[in-house]
Amino acid sequence: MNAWAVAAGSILLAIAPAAYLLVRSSNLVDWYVAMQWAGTLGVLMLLCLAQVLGRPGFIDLALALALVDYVSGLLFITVIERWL
Amino acid sequence: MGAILVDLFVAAALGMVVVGSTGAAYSRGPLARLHFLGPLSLLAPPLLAAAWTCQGGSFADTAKCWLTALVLILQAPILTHVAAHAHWRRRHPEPRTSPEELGP
Repeated sequence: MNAWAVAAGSILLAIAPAAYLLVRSSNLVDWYVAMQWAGTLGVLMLLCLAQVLGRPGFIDLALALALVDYVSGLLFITVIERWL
Repeated sequence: MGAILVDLFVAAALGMVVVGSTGAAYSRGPLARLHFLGPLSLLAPPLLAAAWTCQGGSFADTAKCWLTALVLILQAPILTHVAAHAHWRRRHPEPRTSPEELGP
């Protein structure tokens, strides 16, 4: 087991508190923070998995997730601020 | 030497993830959590990209890895600012004026 595999597993574990926050909190901004938190960790985990599995295609997924995370985050926060 | 550098960079990135996640998990309120997500979003991605570079591989994969890190670095301050702004606006809503108060 190399450093990349340890990092991928640890990052996967680090998503758990974000999911817990998402489930337990009733604050909409907390939901957004949890979403940003989990999204960033997801991107980092995909970068590690690309190295662990030897599949460079996962980098494309990570890049796409980072871009989608940005756009969806802006949309979500706009909806929170204006209508909720 | 290269393998040691890779392990060092990955360990540093993992340290950032652990510090940021632990801090955010134990913080109270969205603003405190946003402070801890800073190192997670700004320092961990370039460290992982540096590890990719030291690991060796095709130029295209390394470039895409750095591009992903760049996207995360650029988006983090913007998203943090809009989240803090939204939190502030929810706590301090604008006073609503009725049409009668506005006058003709």
